[in-house]
This record gives sequence, C-alpha cells and structure tokens, in this order.
Amino acid sequence: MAKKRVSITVNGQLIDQEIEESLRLIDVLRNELFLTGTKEGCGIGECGACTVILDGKTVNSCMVLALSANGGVVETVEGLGTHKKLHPVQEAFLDNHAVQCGFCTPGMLMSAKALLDENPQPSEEEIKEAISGNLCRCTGYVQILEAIKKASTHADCQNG
Amino acid sequence: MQQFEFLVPRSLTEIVELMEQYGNNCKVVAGGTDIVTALRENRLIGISKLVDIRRCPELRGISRSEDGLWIGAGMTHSEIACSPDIKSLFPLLVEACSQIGSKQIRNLATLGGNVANASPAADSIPALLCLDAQVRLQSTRSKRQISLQSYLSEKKQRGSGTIGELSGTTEELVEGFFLPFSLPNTQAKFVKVARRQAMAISRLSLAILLHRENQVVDRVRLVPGAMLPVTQRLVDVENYLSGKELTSEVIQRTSQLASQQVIMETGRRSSFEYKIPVLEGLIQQVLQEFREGD
Amino acid sequence: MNDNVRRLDALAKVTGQTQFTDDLHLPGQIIGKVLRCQQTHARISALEITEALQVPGVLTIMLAADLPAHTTWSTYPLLARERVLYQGDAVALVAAESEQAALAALSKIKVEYEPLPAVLSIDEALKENAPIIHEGQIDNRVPNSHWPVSKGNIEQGFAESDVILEREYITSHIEHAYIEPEAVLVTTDWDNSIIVYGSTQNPFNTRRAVATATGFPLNKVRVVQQAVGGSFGGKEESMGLLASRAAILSLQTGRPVKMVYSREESMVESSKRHPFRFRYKVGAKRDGRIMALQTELVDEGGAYNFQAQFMNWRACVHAAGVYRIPNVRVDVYAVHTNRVFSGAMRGYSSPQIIFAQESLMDELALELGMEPLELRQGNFLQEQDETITGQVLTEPVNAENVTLRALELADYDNKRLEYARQDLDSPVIRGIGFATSFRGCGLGAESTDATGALVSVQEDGSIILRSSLTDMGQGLQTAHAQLAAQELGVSLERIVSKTVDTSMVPDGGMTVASRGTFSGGKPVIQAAARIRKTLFSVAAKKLACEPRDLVGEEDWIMVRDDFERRISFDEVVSSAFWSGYQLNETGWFQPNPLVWDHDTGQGEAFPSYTYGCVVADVEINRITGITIVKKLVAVHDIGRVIHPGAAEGQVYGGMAMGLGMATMEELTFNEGLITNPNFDKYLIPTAADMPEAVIEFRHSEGNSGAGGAKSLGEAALESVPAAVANAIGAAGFRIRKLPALNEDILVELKAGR
Repeated sequence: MAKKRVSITVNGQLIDQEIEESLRLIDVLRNELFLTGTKEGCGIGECGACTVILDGKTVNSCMVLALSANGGVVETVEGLGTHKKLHPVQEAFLDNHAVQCGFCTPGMLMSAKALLDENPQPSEEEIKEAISGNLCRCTGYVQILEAIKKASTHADCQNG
Repeated sequence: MQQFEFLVPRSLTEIVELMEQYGNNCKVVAGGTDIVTALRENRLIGISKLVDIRRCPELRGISRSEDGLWIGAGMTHSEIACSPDIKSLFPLLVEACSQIGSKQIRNLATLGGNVANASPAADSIPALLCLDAQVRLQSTRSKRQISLQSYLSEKKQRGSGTIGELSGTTEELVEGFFLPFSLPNTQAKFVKVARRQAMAISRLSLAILLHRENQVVDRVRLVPGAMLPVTQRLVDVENYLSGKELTSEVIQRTSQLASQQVIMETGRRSSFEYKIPVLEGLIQQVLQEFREGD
Repeated sequence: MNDNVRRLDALAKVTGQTQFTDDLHLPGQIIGKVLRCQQTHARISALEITEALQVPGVLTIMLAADLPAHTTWSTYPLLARERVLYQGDAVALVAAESEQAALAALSKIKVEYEPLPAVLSIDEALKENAPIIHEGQIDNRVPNSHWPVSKGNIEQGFAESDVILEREYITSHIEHAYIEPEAVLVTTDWDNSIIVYGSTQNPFNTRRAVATATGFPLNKVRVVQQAVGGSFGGKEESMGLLASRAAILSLQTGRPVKMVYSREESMVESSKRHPFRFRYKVGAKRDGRIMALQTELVDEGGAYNFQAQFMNWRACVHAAGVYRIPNVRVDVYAVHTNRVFSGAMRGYSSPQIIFAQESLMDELALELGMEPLELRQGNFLQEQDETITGQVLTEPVNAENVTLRALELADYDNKRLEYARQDLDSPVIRGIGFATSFRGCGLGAESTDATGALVSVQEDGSIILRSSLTDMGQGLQTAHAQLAAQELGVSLERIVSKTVDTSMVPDGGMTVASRGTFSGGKPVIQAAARIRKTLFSVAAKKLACEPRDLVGEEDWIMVRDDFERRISFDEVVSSAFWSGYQLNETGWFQPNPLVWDHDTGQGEAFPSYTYGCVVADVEINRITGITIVKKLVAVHDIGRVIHPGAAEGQVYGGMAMGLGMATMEELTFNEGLITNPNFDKYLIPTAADMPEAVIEFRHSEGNSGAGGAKSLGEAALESVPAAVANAIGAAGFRIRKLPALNEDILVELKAGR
C-alpha cells in the first residue's frame, strides 16, 4: 500500500510522517497520533462527533482526506485544555451539566470553541447554528447551549 | 475504503493536464464531502487517482468585474454565505448556501463541488440558475464559459453511470462561476423543505427571482429543486409570468403551470403526491410575499 | 442531597481523556468483521471462502461449522448455518491485520442464497397461512410474550357505556441512535481467561453470551465495561453477538481482537424499539366516566427475540394509562417477522402505548364534547384507587397534580382559546396538547429487582465505589457516590466510582427499567451504612460516648449538638484500619417478592410509581405540513431529586428523543431491507429542532426508592410523543401513526380544509 508524506500541525505540534494515502484526517489523529478524543460516529459527516478545527474552521475529520490537510493547522479537544487549565467552554460544560455519555462532547466543544474564537458574544441563534451539525442523543442540547452562552461571557473568550 | 493515489498539483494547468492524462480513472477532490462518502461505500468505480484541488489559488476568490461577480469554484459555502459582496449582490445565493448541510460541511464543501456533483437535491443549483450563472470550464484543449443550464444538460446527456456511482471526471474542470449583476429592486427567495430544521437533505426546494417595472414582471426565474432529474428553470412558467402583474389569478395560474410543467418533464412520481401541492403552495406564498413587498 | 455537583466522570470527558472502547489499543490487536447476508429470508446454498483467504493480512475466516461451542446465544445465531432470517444474520467471521484487509476479504467471500417466502409486517405474520419463521412453532407469535389482563366484566362494561369508540394506532421501528457505535476489544489474561472490554449496558449479559459462545465457565470470562457512549437499551443483543464473535476470533488466532461496528452495521444488527399495532375499544358514560377498555397490543419482535416476554408484561400493566377503569381486557403479544429484531428501548413499550392510549383519551373527549382535561380528571387514579392490574395505590398519587401544574406552566387554557380562534388564512396552524402517564419503578413483578454494590474505604480515607449497575451516560456513578457520601458524612471528592467489572462486583441484573438509582442505590446505602456503623463504634470509644450519639458530616464524626467533641473521618478510618476492622462492605438489595397471576394479569405490579405530564405546543406549516414543536413543558413527580442538573438533563434528553419519535424518526424498508441505515436518512433532532423547554419536579415523599428517589430515565421520554400527537390533534389533525411526517399532515390538511 503506497505511502506519502504528510505534514500537519496538530495542537501546536508539527507532525511530519509517512501515511497511507487513503487515510482520512480522523484516522491519522486517532490511529497514528493516538489522539482518541476525536470520535467516529457515522463516517459520513452527519453526526459531528469527529469535529476538529482545520485552519480555523470546524470540519468533520471523517470527511477530510489526510493528505488534503497537508500543511494545515489542526486543533482537537486534547489541545483545548488540560486538567490543570481548562478552556472556559470546558469549565462551562462541567458547571452546566452539559455532559452525559460524553461521546459527542469533544466535537461539541470544538464547534463551540470555533464559534467563540470568531464571535465572542454570539446570540442564541448563532450558538444553535454552530452546534446544529453535532448530534447528541443524551442531553437534548439545552444545557449545552446554556454552557456555551455562559462561556461566552467569560473574560478569556472575549480576548479571543 | 477504496485505495487510490493522491495527487497534489500546484496549478490549474497541472490539474487539467492530470485530468487529461488519467481521464476516467481520476476524480478531482475539493472539499471531498461527496467523494469521501463515495469512497467509503466503494462507489467510485474504476477510480485510482484523486487530484487535490482544494486549495488551488486559481480556483478561489471572489472578484467584481464590470458586469458581474466571479466566484471561484473552490469557494466554500461558508465563505459564500459570509462574503460581503455576495450578501449585498446575490442574497439568494447566500440563502441557499447557508442551508446546505451543517456548519462543518459548509466549511469544507465547495460551490464547484455542489454543482459538479449535480445531485438533483443540490441547494446551490436552483439559486445559481435563477441568477443566470455561467460556468467557466477549462481543459488542456479549451477554455469556455457556458450557461449553468447547458452544463447540467451536457452532464446529463453524457450520463453518469448507475445511480449512486460517481464516474470519472471528464477532462473539463469547473473553474468558477460568473454571475451577472441583477437589476436593482430584484426580489428573490429560496425556500428549503426538509424533515428537520438543520443539516437535512432537501425534500424539495424552490428559488424564485423576480423583477418588476411599474408592477409588471419584466424578468423572472423559477426553479424547483429536488424535483427534476436535471434541475432547471421552468421556462414556460417564466414566459407566462413575464409581462403580467402579480394578481391573485396570475399567482394561482403560475403555480398550476409550474406543477404541470414538472409533471410533464418527469411523469408522476410517488413523491409527487406530496411535492406537487407543496410546490404550488410555496410558489403562491413566495409570489404573494413579493407582491406585498412593494 | 439535592446537590448540583460536577459529575465525577465529566472532567475526563471534556478533556477527551475518557477511554471509550475504540480508543483502546492493545499491541498485536487485529480486526474482526462479519459478513451479513442482506437477505430477508433465504437458504444458504453455497459459501466459498478460498479467494477471501488469499487476501494478504487475513488470519482466519470462520463459518458456522467452525464455532467452538454453542452456535447460538439466546435465540440469536452467532453465525447462520443453513437459513438466514433477516438482513443482519451473519454467515462468516473474518479476522485480519487491518480493517482494510478484513473488508477486502468480506468482499471476496462468495455466497449464494435461495430466497424463501418472507414475512415483512405484523399483518403478514398473523395471516392465516403465513410462512412460519421459527421451526417447531405453530405460528409466528413469540413464545411467552402473551400477557393478558382481565378485570371486572368487559361485556357488561360496554353494555353500561353510552359512548363506544374503536381506534387503531400504529408506531414504527425506532433506532436508539447512540452516537457511539458498538465496540469490543477482546483479549486473554495471563491465566488464559478471557477479558472483554466493551461498550456494554449489561456486562453480565455480555459475559453470559461470551461464556455460551466459547464454552468457558463464567469465572473465566471477565467483562470490563468501558465508558458507554449512549445505549438506551440498544447495546444488548448486538453486544452479546459482537463480544461473542470477537472472543471466538481471539481464541482462534491467539491475538487481541477489536470489533467496532460502522453506523450501518449498528443499524442493521441491533435491536429496535418494537413497532406496535394497537386496537383499542373504549366505553364511557356521557359524564365521562370510563366503564370499559379493551385492547389488543401486537408488537413486531422481528427475526429473533430476547425480551418481548418481559417487555409485554410491563405493557399490559400500563396499557390503560393512569386511569381508574372497572372493566378491562388487555392482550399483548409479539410476532416474529423477517425483519430486524426489536428489543429494549428507553420506555420499554411505554412511549408507544402512551401515544396510543393518550390519543384515545383525546379522541374520546372530543366524542363526548368534553375538554381533554375534564375527561381525565373524571378518571385519574387517586390514592387508594385500584389500578387495572388490581393494585391499590397506597403511596401518594400525583397524576392530577402534575397535570394541573404542567398545564399552568404551559398557559394551556389561554393558548387553547387563542388557538381555537386562529385565522384560517395564516400560514401556520397552532395546537396545544398534553399527555399524562405513570410508570412503575424498577423491575417490579417483571423479574427480581435484586442488585448489589461494593463500598471500600481505604486506609487513607479515600473510597472506592463499585455498583453492579452501569453508568451509560445517565450519571449513575455520580448519583451513587452522592448517596454513599451522604450516608458516610463525607465529601464527594473522596469517592471514586468505577465502571462495572464482572470479576469484581456481584451480578445485579441489568441496568434497565430506570432502576439504577431507585433500586441500585439501595445496596450502596446499605454498604455505606454498615461501614458507618463500624466507624461510629470506633469513634465512640475515642470520644467516650455511645455510637448513637454520633453524626457524620463534612468529613467529621462528632457528638450530636456538641461540635467540640469530634474526630476527623480520616483519623477514625486509620484507627479502624490498623485495628483490623472491616471497612469493605458488599450491599445487596433483595426486594420482597411481588405476587402476580399470569392469566388474569392481577397482582402487585410495582412497589412505587412516578407520575408525569408533558404539554406540547406545536406549529404546523399549512403549505408543507411540517410540524415544529415550539414548546415543551414537563412536570414530573420522581420523589426526591438527587442531582437536579442530571435530572434535568434526563428530561431534556427525553424531550429530544420524544419529539424525534413523534415527528421524524422511523426505519424505512424496501421489501424488508433497511433503506436508511445511517444518519443522513435516519433523522434525529439537532439543536435547531429543540423547542423552548420548561421542566419542574414535584417533590413527593413516602416512596420506596433509594434516598427517596423514584425513577426518571424512561419517564423523561415516555409522554413526549403522545403530547406532540395530541397537540397536532388539537390543531385539527388526528394522527394515528407515528412518526407524523409532513407528508401525513399534508394529507390531513388537504382532506380537512
């Protein structure tokens, strides 16, 4: 099986390695880099569990061929925050009970982060739009929307 | 997942050369949202080469000229929906593109891809047809600009294999779209009917564009989406409406002619029991809105 | 209690650190896949694997004849041998070094099928000369799935009625649609016992399946539950099959085997919510008193069955709703078809039944010229009333109270008037409707609601809690920890709640029936209470008092009302530990046996009941028939709320799931084969579909739940589809089939106006 070199910056770290050509970005993240926070729920870009930020925009990583992201900058949930210092949106999810089974959570967080980076004071409609591509079967979305709203008034987010 | 070789050309010239070289064995990939799904289901028959065109600079950009706007085929639906130029000049296209898929899909999928894939349910196509979009095509041998309608008809005639299969690229690349400026005070609307409020394939859609001078319609475009095998303007309906005022009778008749024309084009489908009355109702609603918008 | 703490497992989830099963990697792991027949009913006439074996990277391909022990688990074939009974039946098992190799091998396996006559619906299954799907049966009814109820004198009841209504209602296959597809990773331990890491709702059932499939005794199969990305009852049969197959491959190859379903596989081979066909006949007096109710409920069990015999029992108890009816006849039974099998799904028949029976109430009200509330108020069960299954309700009955409150919160009376006057030319039509229900908590007389838990205090005062029941997202680990913390008088941070490991906790039965806290909390409290007793006796000696004088609070053990005389929890624990005291306890809750008579359907069904009312306010587009739920109000009596945030989360989630079932979800088939096996065509609600949602919990006392908490998980969902249907009905379009798609509404619109 043919391999090609791919160079992607993931969570601030430059990754440069040979991969099989048919790999999707999600395969590289999960199976080559062992960043398993990004999840696969459907494989056809319909559930959003695989959402990452590519060059500043949210995308379904199951729909991006890894080589197509060559030279790109990728942010995943692992780069969002750590136990020691959480991103405001992660704190907000914890405080607002926006997590149940947790499988959709990484994708949701990335959609939320991308929204707040671009639009620090989004309206409720804008928040809904930002996460309408992230399916959740557990929470009914209400507490997630509230969490993102709360996070948007947090100082760190306002500084962009 | 199908196996393939992934080629990354650096220029438009290189892209069309590869397309010429590999013919039916290659497929160009922009956003990839249609391609990757097809690969996963092994539907790309005979494709061994994918040609990456996602970030080719010559396929990107939005620029004004004297007569209209140029939109590179590689522009994503998000970029189109956010573009100040498109928002002010062609809000109809913004309405359509902003309802495609989800935000994640819109950030990746391109206008060129939506058109080239030419699914009957593609949302951008009815809007582009109403806006008299022209498609610029390039190959190693020629460069031409034709109406979007001609492009879609040509595609249909060439055939695309069994339903669901994506056949190889012919040697012409969709480079971009030219949209002539609309007349001032043009009214336009895009309506999408789907089973839920976001991230849904259109059950049917409708794009209408209208211009009136002293109440009389002097320009009209009407395109139903997800109803015809090849999405197209309902020209007979447009001809009927031209030169008339938007009275209740005219509006009623317009909607009836539209459904008649659709049935004539395709025969009666089982889904039409739903779609036909909805189409008629929506046409009436939009035209009434236009009338009241005076 | 009543504490809105951060969930214990949430930090790992928001940082992406939680290990779901597919996140695990073992060195040397290989990939397993099955080949599915994609037939509805057929004989296997030829099966050829030589070419597939040649694919590089393939380690083994196994057929039915190669299986090491039993070839079926429950009624499910691990691999079909001669005959396939539905689309998902597997005919071959492949293990390969990579997913690519495994899929390539699958594509090269050649199978020939001889189609057999297929039964593709309830009606077809019941036809006079229908093909019998399961050998040895005289018809297509699922064995033991018939549960009757007979109360009073049904003929007399109808004779005494002034008005009689007969109606038929239908519901469709619903998919659980947990966002995490099924996954297992199977390996062997150093002593050659099997370890199964899996996304399993019921690890002990999975263990039983693997033991059956491998021939291993239960003590040599260990199932370690990983974080479960949603289940809702669905990861049961499919997990048993998946884990069994992976274990077989692992034994065959000597390598760890990972098997993860694609979404399509998950939808083709996992249980669905049972579609139902309801035929109701109800008789009432002019003043609204219901005199008689007769109903036949038939559910489509599909090709195989694991649970209809349990589910249909619950169905018969709830078939008439939360009403006092003197003369009742209920018959519930399931039928086999050659379609995907049905199983447990949140509610366990209740959302379907409540839709039918609450729709019937609204239809009856209309017939009698009464308001929906008025009719119900005349028939609601009250305290000391007898249910249709002969149980006298001695605990508080809040059916009417939750209803009145929900209607108040929804501004029902005003809206109803406003909508009655709405302009017939407006582009949208509004409607407001509601549904009230009750739900027996725990397993009741369905099966023994016994379960256990381990509480283990370590020498440094930190605590390990292991429940026999699983957290599949609903927050069980946190709720149990809260109960233990309260009992011991310590802060929650001391407690680590582990997932279920079958070698470490007793088999406490399935985490179903919303019993996780209601029943599952009891052994936790019990175990914690025993430890507290030990600690208090040690502390009493140190404080020179009697154990009964002590209280435990905020990490201190102190003399009641004498704050100065106290000793820290840590100190007492250390002292107790080094003195050799036992600080590990296993709690076990065994309920009193409930009495039930099968033939009459009379007995004591459940120890306690919850009560809930949901009001839905909808907007129907006159042109497209699209129904948008604009607002949902839910009022639930669940006793005491342990964790408000988690409880609300259950209700919001139930609202989404319910509105999906009402307006957009159904499995579609073409001649018995599923045509929408992924999320592009099987639609579940997005954030954009969620309406304005209002929730209130009505506190009540005197129930038998752990910590005074009754059940919620399923109650949160079950009335929602009915409320939406009644709202659509109030708008003028009576829907008797779910989902109420825009096409169906449009047909009504064209017919009516």
